Amino acid sequence: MSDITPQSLTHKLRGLRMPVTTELALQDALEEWLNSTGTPFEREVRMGPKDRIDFMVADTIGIEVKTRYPRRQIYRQLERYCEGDRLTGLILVTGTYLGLPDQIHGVPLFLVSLGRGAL
Amino acid sequence: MTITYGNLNLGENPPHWRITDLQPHVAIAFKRLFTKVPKTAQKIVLTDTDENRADLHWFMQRYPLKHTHEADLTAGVERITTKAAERERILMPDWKPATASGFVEGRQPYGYQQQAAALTIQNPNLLLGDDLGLGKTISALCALTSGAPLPAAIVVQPHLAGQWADRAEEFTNLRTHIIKGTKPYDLPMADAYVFKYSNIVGWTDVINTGLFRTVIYDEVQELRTGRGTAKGVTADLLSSTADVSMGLTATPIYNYGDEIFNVMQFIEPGLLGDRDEFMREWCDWGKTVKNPDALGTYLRDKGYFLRRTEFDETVSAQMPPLNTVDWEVGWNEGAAQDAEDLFKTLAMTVLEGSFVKAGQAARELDMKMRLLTGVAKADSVAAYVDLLLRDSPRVLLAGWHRDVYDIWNRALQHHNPVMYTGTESPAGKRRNVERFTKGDARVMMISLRSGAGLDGLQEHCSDVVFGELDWSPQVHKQVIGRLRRPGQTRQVTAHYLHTAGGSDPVIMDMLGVKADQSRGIIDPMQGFYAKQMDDSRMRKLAMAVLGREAGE
Repeated sequence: MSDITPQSLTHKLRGLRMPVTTELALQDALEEWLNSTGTPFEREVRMGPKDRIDFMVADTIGIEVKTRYPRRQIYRQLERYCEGDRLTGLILVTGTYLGLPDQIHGVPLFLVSLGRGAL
Repeated sequence: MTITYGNLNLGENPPHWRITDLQPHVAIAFKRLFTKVPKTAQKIVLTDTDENRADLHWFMQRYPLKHTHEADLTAGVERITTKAAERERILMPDWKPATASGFVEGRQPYGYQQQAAALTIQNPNLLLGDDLGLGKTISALCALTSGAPLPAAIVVQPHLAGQWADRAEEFTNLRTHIIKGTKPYDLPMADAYVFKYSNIVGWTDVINTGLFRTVIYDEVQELRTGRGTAKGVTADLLSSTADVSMGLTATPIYNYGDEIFNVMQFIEPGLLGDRDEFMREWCDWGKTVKNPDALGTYLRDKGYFLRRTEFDETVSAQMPPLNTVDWEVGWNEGAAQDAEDLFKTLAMTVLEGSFVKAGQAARELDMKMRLLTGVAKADSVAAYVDLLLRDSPRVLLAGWHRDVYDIWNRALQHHNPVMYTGTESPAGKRRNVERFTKGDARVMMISLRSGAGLDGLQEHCSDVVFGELDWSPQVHKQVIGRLRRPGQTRQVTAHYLHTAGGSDPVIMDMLGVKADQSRGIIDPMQGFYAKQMDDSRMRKLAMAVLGREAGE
């Protein structure tokens, strides 16, 4: 599975309707989908002293899941993930719309809006 | 001899059970179990229903009462058991209905429609949540021809009264009469009287006589605000005087999960407990249902909610899946600039005005923001539709604001657009549908909330464009259902056009939450759902316009 890129993964995620009522249900649904597509991933990967990212796909693509959460805190967390050179891409799957820059510290960012997915 | 704790007697006119001389601790236990009995009641009286007979029978295993009605009680228990077994039998996939009587020569309902009818009569009461386009009208008419007591009241949205009467005449031998106006008059003989949600209130006195023994609510989500409205109060009366209540809707929940409580109150009151119980147990006193999947499963298991989709074996309609594409479109800075100052004033009032003024301003701001968003992207939307019409014979264009329609009307003039909104009369709407399907109009602008139940477009059009977004996901689904229903031979594509500014991002966040509530309750236990998203056609069209080759 060397053909997984942050772009291709984002595109596929945007075509899904997923539960947003609780973060746990959303994570389970995402895990179920990753399993069903045979995508290699790890859950709850430690990124720093107080951070664990929700999913790490193909070792270098991070996926963070947030249902409803203060925007500024989401952004700070993403910022911390992008420190260091572990990630080649970071995807935020969220029920809270927020404007994101194209990249932080050189790591490309992608937004998957669950609201948009629910259309 | 067994010890008894009180006396039980069967009374007449109307039949009822009277419980007397209960010992105090048994009276407390009794009132805890039979919540319908007021805690302060000195005389305990229960109506004579099979449910109450079964409950009394069960109560007396713990606290025997002195009585001579063992045979009556066990007969009630047996009827309840048989009924449950019969319900299970109807729901088996191999259930074979008899030929439906009361249908005209050459017309027969489908098996799954008869299944819904049989279940309604068996229960008797049903919320039929079949997906759009599966023929809920026919299922309801079938319930009337196959044993639901007549005469029936059918309550429909105002613009659909004619369509219901037409269907009844086309398929069945039922005689219908459309109720005119809000002032009661002498009703002609008929099997089914077609009311409108807008005129039932005027007929409260007639309804109170108990004339209508069956009631069918079409698009029952109209009653989602419960008894808080005048029509809700009258509908409540109608349900309580009728023997059979049936609600039809593919989209029982428009917003948050608590609406299902209100809707069920008109179909099978008490199924979800009383309002406080429901709010406490299911909603944690909020508007959202905590576990929508569990609620959905419960309603189905009880047999009072039946929902089939085209994917069900029993239905297996020959329709390709829905194709969804969504595009972020540009917006017109000029339009945004004009209203900027007004916005600032309003926003200041929201933040700093008095309580009353702030509330008013907040509502106005919401409305203005949606209008502005619609107006700002109207040109882009019109251009998109224009592009789409190079490839597609006809396009259904959904919007909400008059100002937005005006811009579209001007920009799409060469396609002879027609309207289907709240402003047109029923006759005007029919004419416009005629022009769109058979005439020279290639665009029909439809108001997001005007289309429920509209039939006959599916043979002529397979593209719907959302130029404005609604706060409720099911409203979009209703509009798509106008095209994606039996008779449609092509794949239907829904084009959602949204912008990164204005109210669209906020609306979309909200749509995600709401869509998840209704998904859990009506289609429980689905984790993710992969949409079909094929935008290659639009990409090709865009390439052609720009004179480029595909793949560039």
